[in-house]
Amino acid sequence: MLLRNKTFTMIWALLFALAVLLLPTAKAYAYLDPGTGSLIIQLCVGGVLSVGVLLKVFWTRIKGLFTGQTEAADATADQAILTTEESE
Amino acid sequence: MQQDTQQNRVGASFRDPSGFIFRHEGVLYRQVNAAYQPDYDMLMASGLYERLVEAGLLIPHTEASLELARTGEAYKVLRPSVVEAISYPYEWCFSQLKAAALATLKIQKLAIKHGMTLKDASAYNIQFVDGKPVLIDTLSFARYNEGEPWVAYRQFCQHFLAPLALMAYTDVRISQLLRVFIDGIPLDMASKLLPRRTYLRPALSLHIHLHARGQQRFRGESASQRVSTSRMGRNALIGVLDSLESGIKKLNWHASGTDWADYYQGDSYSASGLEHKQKVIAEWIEQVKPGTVWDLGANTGLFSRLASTQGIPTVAWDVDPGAVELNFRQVVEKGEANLLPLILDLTNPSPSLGWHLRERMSLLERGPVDMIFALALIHHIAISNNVPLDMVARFFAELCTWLIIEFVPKEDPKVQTLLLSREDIFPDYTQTGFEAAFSQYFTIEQSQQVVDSERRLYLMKVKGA
Repeated sequence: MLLRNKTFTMIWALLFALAVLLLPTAKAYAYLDPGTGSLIIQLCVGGVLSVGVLLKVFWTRIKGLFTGQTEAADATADQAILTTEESE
Repeated sequence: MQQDTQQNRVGASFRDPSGFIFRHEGVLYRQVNAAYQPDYDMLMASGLYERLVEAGLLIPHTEASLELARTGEAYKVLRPSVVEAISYPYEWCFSQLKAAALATLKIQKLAIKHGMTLKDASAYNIQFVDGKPVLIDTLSFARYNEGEPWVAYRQFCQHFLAPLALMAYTDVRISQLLRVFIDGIPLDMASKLLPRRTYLRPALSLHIHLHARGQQRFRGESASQRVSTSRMGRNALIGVLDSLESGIKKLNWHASGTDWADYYQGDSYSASGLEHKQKVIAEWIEQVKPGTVWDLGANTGLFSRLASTQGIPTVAWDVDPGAVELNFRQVVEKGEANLLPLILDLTNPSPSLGWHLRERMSLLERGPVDMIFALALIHHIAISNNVPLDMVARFFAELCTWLIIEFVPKEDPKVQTLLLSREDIFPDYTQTGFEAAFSQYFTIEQSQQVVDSERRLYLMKVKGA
């Protein structure tokens, strides 16, 4: 458990350092100032997190191949957003 | 509500050029400006409006006559449904802020699905209706162009994520910082105040700690200096929203060990005394039939419910975040209507805040209400906080027409406890002194001794009302 925690911490520290180094650039227009730093961080973080989202999409499709369910209909997908539990 | 005199504009409604709120003959309207036409039409035509209203996440509105428009740039005039009691994030308990945060993310996710995006994520755009968070700003939506990042990301982190994380990990009372920082808690400050172990929480590590460092690193550079062809794909945007959502869901606060949370299990009344107190209050409510009630010092809302269950919009104010938390959870669990638990320190009530002191209303500006309850409260104000009785009466007279107040005499064990560690400098704190002080501002209509108790209930009406 301790080892796992340490490994976890190290991975995070590494990712954190990497993220700071790889900050990209961005622009957006709005009445609200999104803040340069916030935009850059969002792009960076989003880039990393999108991998997870893609994996989730593929996983759903692979599961779909076996269970015979194709992608959820629009209304069902909306319902999924709405009925998410308040805590994990 | 504070208004700009020229067009009866509401004081908080000026930042977004898409439109503004104004009041006409006592009714609130929202002007939609021509510049916002494409976005408004899209909101209505894309099915997003219908979806959100159906889910109770967006305030419904009807379109009113364009003749009501305040300026020539109007495209539509809307009449939103009425929100009974306006509240602010620094008055919410942990679960209320959390519910508001999750509602904002749900709205943003649904918006993206319908080709739109939230262009702001202010906690002040959320109000509570029957225990549920509702977005009240119909003009918060803009067309989503693939590749755009979320403009309101920083605002969301400042208004929701940072205070929630601080409340969960550092101290629940930190929510009061929102009174000072009206655009949410600065992330560098949140990062400093959070314990180091929060670096291990992916969402907090990324959206607060890393975010704060990014802001510091790029301070002073304008976005245009760093413009490139960088785009943020839809999956990246969803990834950010999912991460914020799961991070917030993992944040929890347990209301234990606060002052009042187990008060009703205490020994202030016998069973018949408590029953009698409820019966008397219920009768007076029935007699007066108030349109709105504020229960001051409501604890977990036992007596507030005597009003709210009669269909009367009721706010249950209490100074203890634990009591408000328990009260709110009960509202949610039982799906109770008409009851809004909120945090308030009566000795230092919510002030007017923001630009021109007109963006957020003080407690007084949100009153007066038809009826106030001040039950088992007077000793805390008069003795713990040394407020002379006539000043208490004067303040209450500004807040209401009818007052149900309980006098707790010095002989009462609770008052004895308060006096244990201090000198009794309150010679006028007697039933006679209390009645004399309140009679300056109120007419005492009825009074009744609570059975098995030294305490006395009064029904009073403001003089000249």
